[in-house]
Amino acid sequence: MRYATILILILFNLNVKGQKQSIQFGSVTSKDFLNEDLKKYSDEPAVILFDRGQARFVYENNSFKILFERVKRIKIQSKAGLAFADISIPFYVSDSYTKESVYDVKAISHNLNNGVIDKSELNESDIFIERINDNWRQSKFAIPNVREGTIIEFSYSFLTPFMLNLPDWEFQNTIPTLYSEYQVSINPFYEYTYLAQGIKKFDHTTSYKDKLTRSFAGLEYNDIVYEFALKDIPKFYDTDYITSVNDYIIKMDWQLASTTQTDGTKQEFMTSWPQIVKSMIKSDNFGKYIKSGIKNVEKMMKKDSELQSISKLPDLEKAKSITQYVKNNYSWNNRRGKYTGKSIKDFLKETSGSTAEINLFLVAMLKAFDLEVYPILLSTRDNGKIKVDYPFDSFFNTVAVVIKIDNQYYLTEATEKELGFGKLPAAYLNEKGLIVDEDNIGWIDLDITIPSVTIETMELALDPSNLRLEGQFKKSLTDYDAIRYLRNKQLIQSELDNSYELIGLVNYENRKTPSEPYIIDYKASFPISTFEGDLYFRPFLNKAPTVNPFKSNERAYPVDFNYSQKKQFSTTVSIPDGFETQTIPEAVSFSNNLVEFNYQVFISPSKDKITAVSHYELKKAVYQPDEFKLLKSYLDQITSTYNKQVRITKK
Amino acid sequence: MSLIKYYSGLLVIIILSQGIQPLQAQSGDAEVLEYHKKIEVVGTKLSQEIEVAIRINNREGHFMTRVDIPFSPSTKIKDLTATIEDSNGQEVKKLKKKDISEASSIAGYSLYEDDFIKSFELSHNRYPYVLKYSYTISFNGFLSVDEWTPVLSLNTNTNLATLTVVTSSDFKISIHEQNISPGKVLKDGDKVTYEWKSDYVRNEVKPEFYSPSIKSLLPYVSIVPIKFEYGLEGSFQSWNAYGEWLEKLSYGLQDLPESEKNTILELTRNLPDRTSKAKALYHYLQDNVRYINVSIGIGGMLPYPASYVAQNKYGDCKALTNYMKTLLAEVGIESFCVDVYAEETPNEIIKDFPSQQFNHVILAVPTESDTLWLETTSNTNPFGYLGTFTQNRNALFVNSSESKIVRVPALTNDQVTRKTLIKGVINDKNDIKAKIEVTFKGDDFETLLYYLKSGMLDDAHNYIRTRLPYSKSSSTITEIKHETRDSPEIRVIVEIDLSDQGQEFGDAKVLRLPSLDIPRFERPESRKTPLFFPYPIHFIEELNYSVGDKIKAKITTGVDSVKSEFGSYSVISAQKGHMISVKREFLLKSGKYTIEDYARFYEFISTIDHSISKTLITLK
Repeated sequence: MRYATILILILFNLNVKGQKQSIQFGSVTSKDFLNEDLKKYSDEPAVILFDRGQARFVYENNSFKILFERVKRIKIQSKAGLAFADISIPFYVSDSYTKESVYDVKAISHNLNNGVIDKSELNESDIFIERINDNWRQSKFAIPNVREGTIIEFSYSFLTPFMLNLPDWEFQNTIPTLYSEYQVSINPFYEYTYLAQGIKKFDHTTSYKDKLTRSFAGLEYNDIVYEFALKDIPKFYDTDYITSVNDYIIKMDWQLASTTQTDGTKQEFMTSWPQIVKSMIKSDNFGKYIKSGIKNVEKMMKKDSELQSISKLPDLEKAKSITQYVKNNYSWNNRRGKYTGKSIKDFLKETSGSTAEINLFLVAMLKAFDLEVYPILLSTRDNGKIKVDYPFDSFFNTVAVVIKIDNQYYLTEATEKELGFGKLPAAYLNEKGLIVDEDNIGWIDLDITIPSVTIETMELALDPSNLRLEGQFKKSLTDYDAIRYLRNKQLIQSELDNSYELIGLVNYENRKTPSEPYIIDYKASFPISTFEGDLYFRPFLNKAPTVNPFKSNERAYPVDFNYSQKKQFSTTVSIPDGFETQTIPEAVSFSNNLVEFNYQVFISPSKDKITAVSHYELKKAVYQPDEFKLLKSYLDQITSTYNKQVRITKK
Repeated sequence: MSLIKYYSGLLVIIILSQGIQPLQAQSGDAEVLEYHKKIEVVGTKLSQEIEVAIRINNREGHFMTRVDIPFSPSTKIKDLTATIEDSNGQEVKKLKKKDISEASSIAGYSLYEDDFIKSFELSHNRYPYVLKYSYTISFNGFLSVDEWTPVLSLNTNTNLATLTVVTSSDFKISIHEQNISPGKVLKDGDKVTYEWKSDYVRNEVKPEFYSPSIKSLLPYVSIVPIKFEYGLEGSFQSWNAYGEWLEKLSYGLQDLPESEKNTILELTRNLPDRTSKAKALYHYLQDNVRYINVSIGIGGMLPYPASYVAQNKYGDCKALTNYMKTLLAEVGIESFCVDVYAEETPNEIIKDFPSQQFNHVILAVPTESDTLWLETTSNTNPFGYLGTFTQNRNALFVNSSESKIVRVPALTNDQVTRKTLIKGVINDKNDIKAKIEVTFKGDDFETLLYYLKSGMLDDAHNYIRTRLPYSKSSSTITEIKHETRDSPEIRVIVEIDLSDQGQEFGDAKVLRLPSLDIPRFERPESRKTPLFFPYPIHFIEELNYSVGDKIKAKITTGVDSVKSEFGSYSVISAQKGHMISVKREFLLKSGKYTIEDYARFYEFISTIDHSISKTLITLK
């Protein structure tokens, strides 16, 4: 992990440091085209020359709003960079009164023609508003007259009534940035905190009292202005197998800490984890939803005989049955959230809902059945990691459930129907979750250590005349492995490539509960090789991996498999009369804290059968970069062992 | 890429995703019980009544409960209702207004389009249940009465679907029917009613390797008015009538500012002939103008004027083609717009059914000896290069009343050849290194050029790696070369470590020839669709291994030749002293083959696979 993060509560003055830069919008000179700092970036499709955001409060229609003004200047360097001249600015519309807006959009392109700068301006009629969905819009435009070498600039104003959403600022982009600055002016009625990710020190930072004296409700005040700037920020490299760009990009997140009314009353907004827990419990869309859920469940129990019989079970059985009951009767609508968006009444009527609506209902149900249960707040893998030192509730994007029975904790949830009790969806396995329990603030480890298991079992007979192995194949899968095959029936088809000749159909077993393995079986034949008259085959055909997926020798980021996995193989091959087993591969076995591997081939005493068994386990879900070399070398041993062949000769 | 947005009554939306294939019940996870569409045409107004009933049999059928209705500002959707009935036929849920959402529907290649989608999802948790919905939608001004298919989703049965069209008896239409029994015509006074009835069995059609366009395999009816008014009055009486209308639409749009005129006259002043002038102007277009698609209202058919492009330096395919045509005209070169259906696997233009069947436009420039074809939306295409996107198909050559269907030239074998040269050194059984030089053309070239010019270097590397022989061995790409902006090929040099290749048999190791880079075709018994190769696939490969002193190498059965109506495969090999060499060539011709031909095609591919597996290099 490479982010260096700092947090400063904005109560103190920042010391003035470094020089800040400024530009005048619309005035580009020939010098800007020949900027020395651009030389090292000549291979980049485009470079951001200047990027500045300024946020301040304005009083409008009887309330404060945040006005965010942006100026950005980009040099387009190649045809690949032309895409940076097509701009989209998203904004949120709650209803016709409560909405964000984007206005005063201006854009200019500057082209240097024989030493003369030719300017083209964007026409207002060429700005379009796209309706992304019922709540999101985006303002879109293409800057005119852009080619290789053009300098473009654009500016806009963005007004939001959502005081919780002071815009965040990304200093880093997918192209290099020469200068990026964020200026925030805050009035005495609001207090914000910020989190700076990936920044060791700013090139310029200062804070000062704004000269302009303002007044509100008879009070005179001056804004405090904060400035942060970075110079020469390299582009962000998006790499495979990292959890989320959010965890690594250089940026600044802002969070409302408190508001103070003119009469001096102060409202705190989540400044510590206990505070967050407290306010979740108080919230209509969280704690109170659970409360009214309990009342509804109590009513349901009177009418529903299934629920009545569940109530008589021992605690653990009760917890399992209730989780299954919610899975059976309510469907996830593919939306994630930590707050509910509808009332418990509507949820029960519509029988479908978001992760919050379903899992908080599950909490209510478990509580109504007298179990000790708490909601868990967490952030899914694509949403980025939780930073325990920074208590911002905005990091969380979904809810799970923890149940305590006989001093044992059980994690569960009810939106993923194909997972058994005690399992969370793979996207939830993201380090830790916050337990919403007012009396006991704490974290729970989400990373599941029980691996997903795939077992391949083959009972085959050697058919020397056709040079094939024929018999019964069975694949047994648990948890996430099972889900992959359940969701995508094509997977098994592509695995049974043209080498296999299917005899009959593939049979997919219907499992009764998701805690059982999912089984796929079929009858088929598979070709073997001949060499100088002898017959050869790998004991596990092509089921076990024979190629190491890792090629490079170094790795900068962790290898993230999401969950640990175990693969097991077992084969018996009967050898017909007139043939004998000449050589079998040697046994191999090792075990350490990263990988476990075992491989053995036997010849039966009567010599008419070969049995092979093997398993390997990738014990960790995530391997750190310093473990990469070892992991790779273990996989080398495993794959080369699986490549070894059995040799059969004619008597 | 760039497509004309065109207006065709209601867009046919088919869910292509396979979803999860049901295994037990014949009826599947969901089934469309009834799908009725009734269309009435009155003057320039057209209204459709749609009524659908879908039974959801289990949880996997849930995907059919999401309904999308495309519309635009000039259309009106009315009376949208939806209900859910349980297995006893009791209504248990009803759609509320707040459950209907609206969003823009803008294609990935567009900046903006004034198309929208109304959508809702209404589902239940006790199976089976029936989702019923209905609405009416009306249009003012149309180029198509309807394009209809009974299929709502490829893996969902449609038990009964009907299309009814009612017009006044003097309203003349032209009809194309495909994979469907002919419609009935009923005359009643001054009204005419046309009626079609059809159904569909799920997975009868599915996308497979080298399938023709899915649309061509479905039951399908297309109806257009003979006379229409869309911006201007026009007619689908014949192709030249339609071409005339298209020409009229762009009348007066070939205007250029004086400064622009001077620039291009200057650019072409000293150039000798049409080709060199056209080339200079094409490069000028590529370097100064970019593709941006904005389509609003009739703008789906109407190009922006040349002056708009000159000013903004961007436009969509119609605008850019019109602009290029204007530039050429300015230097005295005549050129013609050619409407095509652009896509690697195109919808074939139905020749005897003049109608708006196109989604793109290119420019044809007759030269002294030949015709040049210009793709004006690409700022990286080599000059005159017609790629897989538009080659080898019928298209409408727009030349006022002389407009006609022409054939766009096909990519030849030479234009698509992938040539691979492997020079390897075998020092030991587990020490084999090689240098591979590959020349990419055709589809490979287009994809690579796109990645390289869009700054997607990682994607370019991945693409190259997966197309190398022995693609799983570790390799380093040392050079990627695109000679000049107009060369239609990219050369790549790769260092590869082949030590992990081969299979050990006791003390010996056996190296095989790389398998061909073609898909693993479905076995004949599971293949559903015919075969269509829009352009040839052609590989030439040369392997040269020099063998070190430490080991002995031997090549076996290295000569073979397979020929068929589908193409050919040949391999020859030689061993001289320390050198082993293999040359082979594979050709799959472009063409269309029926499902009955498929078994023979599969046999052809299997014979080649078998031949490949026989050529072995043994190391001891």
